[in-house]
Amino acid sequence: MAALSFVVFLSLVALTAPMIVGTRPIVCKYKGEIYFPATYYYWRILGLNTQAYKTEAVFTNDKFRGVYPGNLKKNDPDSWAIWPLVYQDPYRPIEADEWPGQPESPSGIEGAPNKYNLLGTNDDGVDVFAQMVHATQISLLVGFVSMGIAALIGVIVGALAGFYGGWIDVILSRVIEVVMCLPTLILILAVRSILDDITIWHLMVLIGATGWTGIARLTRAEFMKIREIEYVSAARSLGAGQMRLMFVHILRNALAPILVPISFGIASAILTEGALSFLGFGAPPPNPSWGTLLSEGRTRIQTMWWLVVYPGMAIFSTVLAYNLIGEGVQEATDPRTRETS
Amino acid sequence: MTDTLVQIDHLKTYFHTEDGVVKAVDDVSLHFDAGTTMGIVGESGSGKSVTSLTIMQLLAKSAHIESGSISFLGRDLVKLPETEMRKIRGKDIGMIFQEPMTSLNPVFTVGAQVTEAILLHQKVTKAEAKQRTIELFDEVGIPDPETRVNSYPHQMSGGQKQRVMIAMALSCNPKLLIADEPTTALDVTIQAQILDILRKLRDERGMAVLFITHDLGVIADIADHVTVMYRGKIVEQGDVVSIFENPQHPYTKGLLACRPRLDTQYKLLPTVDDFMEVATDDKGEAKIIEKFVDEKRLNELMTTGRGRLLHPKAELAAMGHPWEEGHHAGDAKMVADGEKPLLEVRDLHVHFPIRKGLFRGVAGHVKAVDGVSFNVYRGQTLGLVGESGCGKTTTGRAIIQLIRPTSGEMLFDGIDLAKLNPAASVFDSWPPTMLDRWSKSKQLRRLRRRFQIIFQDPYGSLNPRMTVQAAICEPMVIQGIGKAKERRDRAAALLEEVGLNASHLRRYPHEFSGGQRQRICIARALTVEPEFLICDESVSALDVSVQAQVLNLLKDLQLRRGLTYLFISHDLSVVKFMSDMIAVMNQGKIVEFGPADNIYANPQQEYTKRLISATPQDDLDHIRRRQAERKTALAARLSAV
Amino acid sequence: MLVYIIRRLLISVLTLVLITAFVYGLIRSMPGSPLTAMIAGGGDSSDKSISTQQYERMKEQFGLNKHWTLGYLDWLNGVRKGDLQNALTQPGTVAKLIGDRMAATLLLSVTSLILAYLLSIPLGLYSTARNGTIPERSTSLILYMLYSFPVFVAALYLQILFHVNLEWLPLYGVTSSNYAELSVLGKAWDLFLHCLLPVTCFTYTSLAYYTRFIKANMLEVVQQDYIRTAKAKGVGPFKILTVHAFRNSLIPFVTLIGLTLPSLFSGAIIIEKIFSWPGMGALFLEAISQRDYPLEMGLVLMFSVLTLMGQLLADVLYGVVDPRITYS
Repeated sequence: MAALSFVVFLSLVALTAPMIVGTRPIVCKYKGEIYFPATYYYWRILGLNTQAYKTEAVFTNDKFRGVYPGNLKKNDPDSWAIWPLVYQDPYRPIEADEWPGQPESPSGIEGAPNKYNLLGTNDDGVDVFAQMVHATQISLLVGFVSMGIAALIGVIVGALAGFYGGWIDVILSRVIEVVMCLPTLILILAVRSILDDITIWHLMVLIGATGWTGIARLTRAEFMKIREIEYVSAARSLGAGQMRLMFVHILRNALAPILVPISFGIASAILTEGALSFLGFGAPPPNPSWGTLLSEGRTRIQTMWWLVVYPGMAIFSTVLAYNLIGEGVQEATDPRTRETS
Repeated sequence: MTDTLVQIDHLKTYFHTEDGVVKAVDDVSLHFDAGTTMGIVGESGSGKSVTSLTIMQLLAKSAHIESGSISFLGRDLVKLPETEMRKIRGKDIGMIFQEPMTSLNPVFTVGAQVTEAILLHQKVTKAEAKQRTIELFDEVGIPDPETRVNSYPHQMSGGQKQRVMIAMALSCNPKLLIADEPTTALDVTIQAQILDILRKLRDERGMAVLFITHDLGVIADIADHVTVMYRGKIVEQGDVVSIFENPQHPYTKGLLACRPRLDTQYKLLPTVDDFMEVATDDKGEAKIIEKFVDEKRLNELMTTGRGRLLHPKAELAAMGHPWEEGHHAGDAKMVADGEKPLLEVRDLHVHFPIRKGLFRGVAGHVKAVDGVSFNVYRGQTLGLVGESGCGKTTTGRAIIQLIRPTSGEMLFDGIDLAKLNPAASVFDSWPPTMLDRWSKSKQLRRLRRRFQIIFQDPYGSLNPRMTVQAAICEPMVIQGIGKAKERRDRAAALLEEVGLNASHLRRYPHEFSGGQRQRICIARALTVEPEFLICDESVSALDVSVQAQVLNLLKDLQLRRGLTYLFISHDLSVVKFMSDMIAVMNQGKIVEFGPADNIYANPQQEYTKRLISATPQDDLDHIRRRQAERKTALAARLSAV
Repeated sequence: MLVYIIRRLLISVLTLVLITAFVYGLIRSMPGSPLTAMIAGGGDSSDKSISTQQYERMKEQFGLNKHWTLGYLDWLNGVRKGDLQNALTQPGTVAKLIGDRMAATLLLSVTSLILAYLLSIPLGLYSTARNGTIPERSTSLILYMLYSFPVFVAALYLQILFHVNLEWLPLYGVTSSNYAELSVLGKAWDLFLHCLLPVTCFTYTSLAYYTRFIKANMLEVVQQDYIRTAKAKGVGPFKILTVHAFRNSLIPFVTLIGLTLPSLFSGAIIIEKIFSWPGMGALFLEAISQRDYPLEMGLVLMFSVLTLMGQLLADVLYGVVDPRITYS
């Protein structure tokens, strides 16, 4: 239960990240119009940078340069704005007095956690708290999207192999083996070098496209088991077609056990993204990522401990939460525990 | 020989589950003497197995002994600490379980498992223990015991495994042997052998046996005293002759009456419900109320209903069972000569390839069905009987094209079904003629309306994630019959017809008992109004009292709807009760085919005779003879001492 | 049995060809080649001005002027003769480079494998016997937390604790800079200190995983009928657990042994990077970032062979521990 509420909490943080910490107002009235400049962050995190710049086109024209507090009042004395809880930016350090009374972000060893930078700043003076909150979006997105892709491929491949058997199974099993042996790193590097501008989406597709083998194997085994159960024969003898047998009868009963590797897979996808970013193969900076922070921390491990401790805790607790949920699903779908209940 | 060996007093074993307390054993008292055999009989949920596990103190964690005592050799087993109990288990009390397949540890040799039991309780060397094991194997009738001790369980047949279990249980000469449904999982001929060995060893050693079974026939064959249990309580106790001769309790009466027997005259079976009714009183306690069953009712069950419908005269003669006046029941009829059969199976072969070697080449075939031919006429019931592995189920499945037959014709109303079954692989019919395949498979699917199958396992044959309504409506959806509302109404009507009610439509299969699920399966098969039904061991998984109800329902439906049945079962008495004609199968072939009554009264083939003599008999003469045999055996043993 | 193994080997060879062809095609289709990597990373200004002539010559020398399918066939032909070619960016043959790094990886992986097995089996048996008690639950909880602890986070935490705060252990590397001057005992001690953190990181996840695996299987086995039979003949609880039940839960456990085979030799990229450990994982990372085709291919070939062999080994072992399985 704690795990579930933690995941809900994470999702809330991810959804409201720009409202928790940012330098752009959530809502503002400027020259008679209502704007939502904070939406900039959503586009940015999704890698849709052009769309992101479009949201603040008006302000760019007025030479804001991403700094709102002073400029709003300067250009339009009647303007008003609702600000995020914390005035920090995940992409750049804060300069002195951008926000009234807030000093310049410290950088390097100076950036230990303080009143303004709750979890410290990194080498360049970018706030760690802001990066961590915004990175929540990435890890959540990676978890669900890449697992979604993996689940889709895995279930389809496994279902076809398990249902038809024979030569279809032989071929698909080889495919599964090949993908299992493929090093994810090589694939990602290949795509990275083919595409100039790798975004989080490519990463998610790649993690999904390499992470489906476990699901496929389990689906295959489940299909092989269930297709021998009599209700499938019963449906066949009623004249049910193959699609009906596969989806109405078999898949529906196989779904519960398949959910187990899927929910564990979310954790492992988040972990993979963290590891890739840590190795420097993730979405390129300045995109905030827990893994990137950690990898920065590794090079400054002698002095800047905060770059290691906080993102590490974030990854650990997220992975733990998803694993616990997977465990819960496993227990709920385990026939042994189900029968007694 | 009158000292009491086991005395159970007011034993209560309850299971504490999330849904509340289950009173598995509820105030049970029984005792029996050294050297006697006590049979406990009851249906599933009667508490008979829990009673035996309570004696052994092998209960699951959720079970708790609420009160009562089990006195054995002057000690109360309920109060005995676990370490003391361990010295009794295997030494003073041996136990055999129902499932020989899973009761032996798969990774140790059978010899090692028996030797272990000897070493645990006797001060002997390993070599001596091994020698003793070989002797035991010889005693329980395992051929070539010196080499068989080194076999692993999976290398032995079910009957042999059960012999190993017996050897293990008897290895330390226990004073009491508990046998918990030891023959239920076995074929009837093997069952007869195992019972023979148990009887022999029991008489030789003079040990007491607590024999637990659901099968009254087996009880009649082995027990001296009988305890009948029903829902955790003992309803009747007595010696075996008096229980069978003059049962007192309505449940015992019902149980004895509802069993189809080889010599039964009934057309419809009496059911337990004819004899009693369970009412709940103000306190929520279940009470059994006896119902009066008069001669008229029993007479009605014997005479009403459909008579046998036999094959045409010419065919009967060809089978070696020619029609003779007076040989058959009075209302038996014959199909007119020259009438076309509804189903004509010609030289059916189903072979499964054995693949071997580097390229998985076909090295040989398992001939599951090896040249089977028979006719079934409209309105008839053909019984297909045989032991496990004889190919009867494969035959049934091949007919409705769930398994692709290797060769042979299956003419259903003149259409060869095998020709409509699309090849298993595209490459089997090269070049692929997809259009042809598609149209044929569509034709077959349309045709499936006319023949249906009811499977054995009432738990496996309903999709657990479909409501009853979805399950019953599915065939109509597939076959495109009716609109949603009509389908629903029809489903409701069918449920009523099979003895359930329309309010059950929204429930899921797990909410029903085995018998109810089998009724749902029957309703599902009937939605498309088939002419031909294959019942593949359809009542084998059910309790006897429920089995009687479902058999009656099937007979009833046949009469009302003019259905044709292919009734497949391992149980000769059930097949004989149901069928007009019987085909006896063995090793993929039909060994004997004839009218049901003739097959029983006048079997021509050795195999059929063996099958009939192995079926447990529970007529009084038989019981008396057994008891007399036992007395002489015991007397012989005493004089030898 | 032999026929079965040969059959499986044949299928594996086919799979290997598929994998390596795919990877070769992939890395060759990446823009940039070892030459561009060399030019870019050359450092010295003189190297930057490789003449076009030189460039073409090198291209030919490395077989980069051919279509990738021909290049692959060349490579495959080499493999058939047991030649993995020379590495492009480092001196020496691919085989020698791999051999040089193997020792460092095996030192970590074998030590941690032994540790994990030694600890997880008693822990798993203990958890089964005491299932549901408070000490068992807390052990399980701790193991579960460990299981979820990402290894790169744990490694950094350990470094901060033992190097930065306590100053007990070295940060990374295999030996200290003054290694050569140390006595034999001192050398061993130095090596031991350097191994401590990486081995811990290598061990803890597998320890947690194995323990849970053993427990889950044991809990299933103890519900089987034959355990009841053993009880019915009077076998004591300890013997039931260690002889009757454990022997059966070994069956799924050996599959695990087969599956760990590749990780034994392949090393862990992340751990080796964090601790600057010159093992296989680090080599792989170097090969990838420098576009060293032959080295990459050699490593991919090795990993794939190990993965497939691991699966075969698992199946064969399965047949050894489970008398019910026969391969014919």
